[in-house]
Amino acid sequence: MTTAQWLMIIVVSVLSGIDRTAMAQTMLSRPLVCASLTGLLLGIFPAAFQLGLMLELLWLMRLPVGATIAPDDTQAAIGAVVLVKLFACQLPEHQLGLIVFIGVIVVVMAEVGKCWDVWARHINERLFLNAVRGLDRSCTHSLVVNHYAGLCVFACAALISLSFIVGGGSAILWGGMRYMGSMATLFTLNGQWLVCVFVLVGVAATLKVLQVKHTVPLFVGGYSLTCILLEIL
Amino acid sequence: MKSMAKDGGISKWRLFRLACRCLFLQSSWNYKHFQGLGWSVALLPEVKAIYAPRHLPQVLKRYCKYFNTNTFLAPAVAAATLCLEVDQSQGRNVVMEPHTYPDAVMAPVAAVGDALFWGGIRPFLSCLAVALGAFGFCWSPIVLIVLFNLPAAIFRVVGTWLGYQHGASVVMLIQRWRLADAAILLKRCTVVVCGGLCAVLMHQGQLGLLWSTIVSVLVIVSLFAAIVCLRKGVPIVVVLLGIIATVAMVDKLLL
Repeated sequence: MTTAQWLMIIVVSVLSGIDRTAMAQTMLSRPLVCASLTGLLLGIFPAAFQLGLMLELLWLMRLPVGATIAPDDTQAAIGAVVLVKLFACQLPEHQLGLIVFIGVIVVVMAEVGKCWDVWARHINERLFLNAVRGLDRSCTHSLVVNHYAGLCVFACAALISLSFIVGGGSAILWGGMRYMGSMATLFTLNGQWLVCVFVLVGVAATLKVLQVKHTVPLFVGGYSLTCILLEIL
Repeated sequence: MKSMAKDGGISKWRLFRLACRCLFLQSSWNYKHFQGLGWSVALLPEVKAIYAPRHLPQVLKRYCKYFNTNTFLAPAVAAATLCLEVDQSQGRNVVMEPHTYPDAVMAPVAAVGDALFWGGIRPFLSCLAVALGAFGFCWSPIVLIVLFNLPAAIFRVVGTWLGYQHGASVVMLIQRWRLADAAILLKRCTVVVCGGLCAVLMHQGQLGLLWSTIVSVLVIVSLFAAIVCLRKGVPIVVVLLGIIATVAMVDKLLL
């Protein structure tokens, strides 16, 4: 990867990282969006799009409300795309297997990645106190400075999270690369089905939280209707 | 309760700028005061325009405390608060102190807004985008971004204007919109879209009718088994690895 590509990854990581909580919440931080964007910048859009689809629904219903902090699926998605870019050339014959393996790695690491989000929020408590102290000195400007300093803290948390995922993931893949060939032979079936497993688990996680009346009839209705439509098309 | 302070009050352009500042409401989010600092910064320029500089720190300290509401409906609350501030500064009667108004309305507004945006619109659009993506439509991320931000922008900009026009009674207006009912409807649509998504994933084209039926039944059964596992508190990573291992084992046994 070139320096320009790394710089673009940093920009995407920071923008999508602050979009998660700190700014606007435009859904740039959704795995499907940021993974696709990263893939587009790195020239591996199809693989990145697939990773986005795999990760999009897994933590969809971990709502960013109140003090709840969801696993960092944003940096996980970006990190996964970077890992694919870094390691795809070493395993060209098992591309889909590699994507699934990286998917599993980042799913585990995303859980750890939220620690940095927690850290950022603790740092912001100090910023709040600084702002109030400034207000005690009749300095209203300190409110603005400390408030927007929080953006930098969230941006740092995003970058640290991405570094952790890319660094940790690279270490695991570098160590495990020699066994990847034999591991891939374990899965004789079409790797596309394994990609579907991620989406199915995401659907299960979503339905678990939605708790809508008549879930089964609605789900089966949607399933049957789409099957019929696909057959007709 | 309707505000009478429109003349000499806050212009539409300034209200728009207030809505823009509310985009950064959570920039300094913290565990003790949540959006407190962002809230006071969002109000700062307008409060500056209303009060003399020597009163400013005192006024701002009243806002520099715990505050937490839905980010998409926050501009409406901010504008209503400013409406009360303007009314009070011009000597008119106000239904409650401007700084106590956000305390009173933030929780109900958060409940309605979170249910709609985080519980209704986002899951629906995400599932739709994934379904479209699985069907081979590569523009689905754009669909997700555009369709989510359209209502978000409307609620932010129009909400600010309505909040200033209606003052404290804007919460009643929000209540009349029946957003909670819209959220429930969207949740039901999400379940239907999830069904459609699973059908798209399983539709491989080369399977015959018998195998399609068997695969469909297996998928639906395993999906609801996964839901039961997740409800029992099994971590999502374990469920994911379990299903991948099961698929690999079945594959080894059958082929």
